[in-house]
Amino acid sequence: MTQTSMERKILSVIAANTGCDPERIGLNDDFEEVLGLDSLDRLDVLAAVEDELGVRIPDDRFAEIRNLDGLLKALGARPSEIAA
Amino acid sequence: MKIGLIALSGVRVRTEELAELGVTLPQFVNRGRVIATLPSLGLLTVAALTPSDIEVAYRELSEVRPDDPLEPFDLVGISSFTAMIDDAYALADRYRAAGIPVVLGGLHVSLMPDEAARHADSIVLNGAEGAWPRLVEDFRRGRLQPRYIGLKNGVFEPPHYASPRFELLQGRPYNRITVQTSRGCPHDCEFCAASLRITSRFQQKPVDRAIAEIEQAKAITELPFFELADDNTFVNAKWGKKFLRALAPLDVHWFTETDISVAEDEELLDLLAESGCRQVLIGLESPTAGGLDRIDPRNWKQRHYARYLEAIERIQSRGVTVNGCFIVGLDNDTPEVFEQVRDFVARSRLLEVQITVQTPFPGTPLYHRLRHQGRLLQDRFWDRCTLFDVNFRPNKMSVEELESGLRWLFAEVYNETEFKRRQRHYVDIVKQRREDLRAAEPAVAQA
Ligand code: B12
Repeated sequence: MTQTSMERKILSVIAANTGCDPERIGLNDDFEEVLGLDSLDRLDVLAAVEDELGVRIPDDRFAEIRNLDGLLKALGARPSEIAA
Repeated sequence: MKIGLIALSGVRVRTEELAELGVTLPQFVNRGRVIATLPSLGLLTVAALTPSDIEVAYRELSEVRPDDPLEPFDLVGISSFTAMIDDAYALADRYRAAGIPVVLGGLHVSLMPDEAARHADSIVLNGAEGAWPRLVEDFRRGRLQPRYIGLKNGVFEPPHYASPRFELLQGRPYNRITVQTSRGCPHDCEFCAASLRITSRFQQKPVDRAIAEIEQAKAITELPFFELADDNTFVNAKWGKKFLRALAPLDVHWFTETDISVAEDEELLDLLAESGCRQVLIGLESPTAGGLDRIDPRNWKQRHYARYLEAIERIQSRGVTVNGCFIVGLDNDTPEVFEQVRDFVARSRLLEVQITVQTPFPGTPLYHRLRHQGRLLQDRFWDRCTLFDVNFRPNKMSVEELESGLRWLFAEVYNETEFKRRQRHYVDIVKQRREDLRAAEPAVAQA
């Protein structure tokens, strides 16, 4: 795995918040449909990411963050190829 | 013998314009989609009250298509809410025409028994508890009576209590399941058309029974999210705390309806957050104290108005969102009410909002009063009891003002900008809570 450290960090935040195995979270897995989060769980993940990474996701991007890929893009990070 | 129990499910919006608006209003559609598939807890309860040697099938009205042949049952039971009662009657008529006897029960039937009796071989008023087992025995003996009066009290105690048969839902795509912990509500609001109307006083399920039901329902779903089908869950704080302590280890997310007084008890609020409660729906009803005048006989809501803002903030600071409900068209509402609601929503920073129009559901005190005052627009308007259609002449504005004001308010509250603002507010609350919990940790460790 050549994940970026940002990705690793985000994956562990998602895992901690959802109980999902970080190894099994795909770049394009829809948070609600695949990981089974509800709309508030999804916002919990965003809050945890902001909190733990000390970043701020633009409010405008909330709606489009439906998977790890969207989250990385909203943070201006490029996903590594392997995680796909 | 096989009994078919048929549920009225799905939501109903009649006014076309609103339906169209609804499709474009983010938060409004979300909630509609989430709840649209809730199963009928009433019929799961009826199933549980059926003797175990009788086969029971659970169906939804939408599964019974008008052109398909009717499924052959020995007896059919149909539940009822007002908005789709004519669909229920039509199905009942079809079954009866085919020679299969029909029993109608549920909220609308309990409130309008004479009307319902014209479409049924037998009707059941109030809870199925105390009536359905007798009815089935009578039916077996070929002595079905036209009317059975079920219990208005003691429904959660043996020998009348039966745990709903959640396993009948297996294989059906529900993303949420309802469980009831109480019936009735002490406030007795004039417009209320919920279980209060089939209850003689507030009654609560013992904690161990409520928890056992949640455990059973949890076993049939992969991602359990529960909606408590209560009118007012936390009337009794002692019961509430015991329930929440027992619920926390089950690791479920849930939603309920309650009143603003939950905010008065810090311990209860902490337990609420720890038990996985995601949202409490609270009938705030009006953005002004004047609007709340005489909504309930003891003016309880008006007396609590001054605490609304602080209470919302306290609950939400725990990461539990408040779905604040407002009713427009109350007798003291003037055309200013729409702006007042919008401003209150902004000030209170509510994370979810429900706006409905006052609806005189048949059989409620509101219905009788408006009828007596000659203010109902039609004699029979059941299919318009959607909470979004105007069915009466408001006191201090015209029907048109109420209709257009509602549409204006919808667009003001449910737009993309407001939606984003609420999402950001929620994220900030969660972050603050994480910080607070971290700050509290060393103190806990020392204690
Ligand atoms: C869950 C729920 C839903 C679910 C219903 C799922 C379902 N198929 O049952 C969904 C999301 C689909 C829904 C939709 C709507 N709902 Co709704 N909903 C509720 C809620 C929150 C809980 C109802 C519940 O489960 N109660 C618990 C069960 C155990 O009680 P029960 O159904 O009364 O059943 C008992 C007795 O009535 C009787 N019984 C019931 N059926 C039968 C049948 C037989 C044969 C027998 C013998 C006995 C019997 O025995 C049962 C056990 O004692 C209530 C609010 C509340 N707090 O109560 C509103 C409520 C029932 N809904 C309401 C409304 C207005 C609507 C909608 C019109 C909204 C809309 N615009 O679309 C639609 C109408 C849908 C329709 N198809 O007609 C109003 C209804 C008022 C009325 N008198 O009709 C309520 C009271 C809320 C309110 N704002 O006032 N709703």
